Amino acid sequence: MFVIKNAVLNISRSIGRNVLIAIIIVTIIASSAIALSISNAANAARVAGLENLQITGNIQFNRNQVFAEQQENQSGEPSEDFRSGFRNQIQDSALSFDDYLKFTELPGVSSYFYTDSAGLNSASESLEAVSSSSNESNETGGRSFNVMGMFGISDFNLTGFSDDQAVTKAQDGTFTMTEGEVFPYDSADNNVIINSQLAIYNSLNVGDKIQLANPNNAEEIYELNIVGIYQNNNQSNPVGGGGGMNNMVQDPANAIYTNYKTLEAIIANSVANKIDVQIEVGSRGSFGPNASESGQEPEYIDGTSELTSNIQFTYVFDSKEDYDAFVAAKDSVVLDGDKDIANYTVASTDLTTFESSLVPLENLSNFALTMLYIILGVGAVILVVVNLINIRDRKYEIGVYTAMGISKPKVVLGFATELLIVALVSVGIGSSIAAVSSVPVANAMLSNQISSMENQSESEQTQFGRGMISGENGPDQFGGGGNNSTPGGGPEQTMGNNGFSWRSANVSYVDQLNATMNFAILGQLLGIAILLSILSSVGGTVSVVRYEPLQILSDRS
Amino acid sequence: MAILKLENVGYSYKPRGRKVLVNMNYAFEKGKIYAITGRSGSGKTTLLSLLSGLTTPTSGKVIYNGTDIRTVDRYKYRSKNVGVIFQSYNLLPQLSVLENIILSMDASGKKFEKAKKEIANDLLSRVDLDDELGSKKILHLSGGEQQRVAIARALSFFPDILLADEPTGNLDSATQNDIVEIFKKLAHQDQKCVIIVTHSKEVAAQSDEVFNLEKQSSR
Ligand SMILES: Nc1ncnc2c1ncn2[C@@H]1O[C@H](COP(=O)(O)OP(=O)(O)O)[C@@H](O)[C@H]1O
Ligand SMILES: [Mg+2]
Repeated sequence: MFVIKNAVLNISRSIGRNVLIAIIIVTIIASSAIALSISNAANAARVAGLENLQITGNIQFNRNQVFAEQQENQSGEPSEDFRSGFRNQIQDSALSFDDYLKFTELPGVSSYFYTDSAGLNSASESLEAVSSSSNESNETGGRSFNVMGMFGISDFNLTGFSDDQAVTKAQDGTFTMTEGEVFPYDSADNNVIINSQLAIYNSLNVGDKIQLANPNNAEEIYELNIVGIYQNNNQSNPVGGGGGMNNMVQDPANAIYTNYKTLEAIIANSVANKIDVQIEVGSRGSFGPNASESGQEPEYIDGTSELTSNIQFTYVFDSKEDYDAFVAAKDSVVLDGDKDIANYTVASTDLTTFESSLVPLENLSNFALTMLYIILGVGAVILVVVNLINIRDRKYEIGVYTAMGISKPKVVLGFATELLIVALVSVGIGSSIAAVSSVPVANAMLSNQISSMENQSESEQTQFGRGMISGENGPDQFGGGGNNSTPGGGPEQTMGNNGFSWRSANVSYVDQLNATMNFAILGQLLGIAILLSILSSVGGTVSVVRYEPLQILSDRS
Repeated sequence: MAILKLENVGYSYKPRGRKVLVNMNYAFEKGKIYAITGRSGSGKTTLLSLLSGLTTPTSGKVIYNGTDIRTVDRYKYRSKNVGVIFQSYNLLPQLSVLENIILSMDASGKKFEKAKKEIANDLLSRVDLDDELGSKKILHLSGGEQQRVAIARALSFFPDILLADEPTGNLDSATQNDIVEIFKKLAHQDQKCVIIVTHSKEVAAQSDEVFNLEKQSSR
């Protein structure tokens, strides 16, 4: 009681000194409070975001790793061996449906869905693919090519879905039925839904039939029943947000949807009836879409006619923990044939997009925490020094106290109490300042961070193709798009440009931060204040203990 | 029984330094007033430091109520049992007169029958200081006024022993007499042990016993 009373009196007796200390502590507390609010809000945003996030994952062939391994095995100029070795690796990388199914046994998988797609041509005069370009050669060259370096040319992309969940994650985004309804999934009934643009283009209605043919074998014809007509919800973003879902870069108007069983039956039929054919490919070494436009003669390779399909198998996880468990357990899967599981990775587009959206926030949060440590470090040093100077100044006072029988621990406690009272008042003032300013300050800092990141990525994007090859789209998106290093306009550049727009369109950064003060932060601030007071009192303690009243008092007289 | 006793007390400020006090023996009793005399530098202040427990003897013992002062809590001893009027007063200059007095009362941890401020004001009038002075800062007081505040402070928590280092040095003879009267009353009426270091023949003459350090140490 006496200690507290005397401490309060002492503070009121030397306002100037205590105002100085208060200013130091208020500065420390206010900036700590803002830093803590930012880091708190960033954590909260992450947690809340993860809670609302349905995480889906795909198994992907680690193309970069395999390429690097191939590269290591050869020296000098890339040889034909190297090229074909790499090509073969990529070609053989596709997992079978059974392989994909093995991963569903792994821990963490809550559900799964899949699609399969194949490129088909029109088999009748009355059905024509929607084309945005009048230049025929451009269209065929630019629009579609197949994943494995074999550029089958096709008009339509027929996709088979496993269930409703797969449909909602369709590569071209969600859609709305304008007529008819979505097919059931339980049998290979050849029922399809088509895009409204295709329907109008060809005057097709529900109930009509369309005929599609294998692009490599015009004799192989499939008749499909139109049971519905859909309209894409997002018309402006043709490639869609389902990154990694499909190898085709194609006008979404030409996407025909069916159930998985139908597509499976078509592929099976195509394999059963395959014939030997010559397949047109692009000019050697250039995987780009403009091979045919560049004036070079198209090249042909020997092959068989069966439709190649592209399975997209997606695993659904209820939480980040489940996803992590899945990733950790991935290597336990034994793949068919001589495929090495180590060459495959798990990727989650939604998780990556989510993480990317948090990047500025986390940068800011890290920056704030670093600032916090610096402020605390520097603040502690300043306070210790100020306190030491104070105690030297108060040496005579200490002598009087101890001479009158106030014990040294009590003197130290008294000084610490003074500091603590000043610190607590400063916490009040500092956190009030922070409460008023933390939200605007945090948001200003965040928008700064975002604009500096956008500047950075803008300058990166001037380097054509950068975003794609380093992206998480895996082996079967865009083929070798990253090899094309010449930027340029024109319709044949659709592929590359879409690669960009995908990146920038889908990573919308979290740009609002609810960095408000709360009781947890107030608690932390109190902890900081108490810690700082104790810390800077310790220095004083040492000097108080050293003093003997007799010495101090006789020094003076 | 002696409340304070010196037994073969020797003291030097530095280890193996010059002995300021050598082989002192004396007994101080309750109800008596003692005058400690001796010329400047003879060790009077040093002796008071030993008696007040600010330091302990380098040889021999200071005994308080039968126990070696080395073994008692000397902070508690100073705050409760002994009131010291320092030669240089040792008041806190930034505190007011009343605050200085009340600080000592607070530090003693004792319970008082009246309000501390009331007791302090009574003491101020006993040492011939105006009530108005109570709120003045020590900084603004004359030497004589400060001396009287120091006396009031030493009395404030009713200690058994009063040690005073030349308490009347700065006072005119009238005030000096008043102060000596207070001391005498404390010793003879309140049965305190009052020990005064003094140069003044009159003060020495009014005391019950005179303890001359020069004679003592030369003995
Ligand atoms: N703090 C000190 N350190 C060292 N020597 C001291 C100290 N205080 C006093 N002395 C020495 O001790 C002797 C006695 O001093 P003191 O007790 O103050 O004498 P008095 O009060 O009788 O004038 C003197 O010679 C003085 O120089
Ligand atoms: Mg002296």
